[in-house]
Amino acid sequence: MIVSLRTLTYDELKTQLTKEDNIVIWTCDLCIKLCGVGGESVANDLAVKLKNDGYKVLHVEPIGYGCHLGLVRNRTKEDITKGIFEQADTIIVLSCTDGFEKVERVFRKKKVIQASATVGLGAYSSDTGMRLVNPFPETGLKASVKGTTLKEAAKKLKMYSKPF
Amino acid sequence: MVAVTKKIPYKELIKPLKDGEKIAIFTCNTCPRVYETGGVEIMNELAAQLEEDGFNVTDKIVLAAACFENFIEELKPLISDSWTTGIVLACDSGWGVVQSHILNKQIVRGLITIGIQQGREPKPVALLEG
Repeated sequence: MIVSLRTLTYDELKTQLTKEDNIVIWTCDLCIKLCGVGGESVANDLAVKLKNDGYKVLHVEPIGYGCHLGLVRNRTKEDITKGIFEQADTIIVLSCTDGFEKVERVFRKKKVIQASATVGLGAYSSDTGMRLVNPFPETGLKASVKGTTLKEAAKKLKMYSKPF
Repeated sequence: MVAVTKKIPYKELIKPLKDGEKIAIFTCNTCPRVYETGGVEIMNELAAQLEEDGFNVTDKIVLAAACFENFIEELKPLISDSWTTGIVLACDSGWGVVQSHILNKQIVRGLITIGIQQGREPKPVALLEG
């Protein structure tokens, strides 16, 4: 599993938005869901929060594998999503860095906002939740089977392990 | 969800094995399948090659995702106790999970973890000791 953490606060996210933006919240529904900072439910909550603050959220788009370029491209072609993405000019992405880059690549002309980033490889159990096992070396965290909790990793890396 | 791995050359892989040793192969069926370094087909190919070379493959275990501890826990009762070395076709994290759940056996890496796919090149991660 890929471990990703949230990179922005809600206020920082809002500084990248205007009330005129036509927003889609894009979320991978796999690894990042298990990290607690993405997934359909987290994205829906963010949509409600933004709508309550007066932003135009058109749609929440979950994707099974956000790192699969073909699946990302399909959103621009399939009848059910094509119109939504033609209307949208802003996409907030809740996914790993690779997933974000795929969205950025496919929707070149839109404002694509990265709200989370990858910090390494993890292991998951229903007892412990996600743990960071193989961090990127630049994080300064050590690789260990026991791993680092996402709360600890977020604190060390000045990132966030909870939803917006 | 893509951890990038590459195969350990076969000759190197069998170095820690004893002649005729009983082997279990564990494969992750997610990222390594994408990179054709693991998955059912690759596991069966490896098993056939090991058998051909005189090893005895007693167990072939497919983990939907090796880094998901619940899967190995669920499969544990179905794994025999007759083998002595397990070869894990998974990323480093998956190998760590198998190693920490299967005690008193030699558990060796079957793959080298290069990193996480990001852009065009995989980005390296810190690896576990051992």
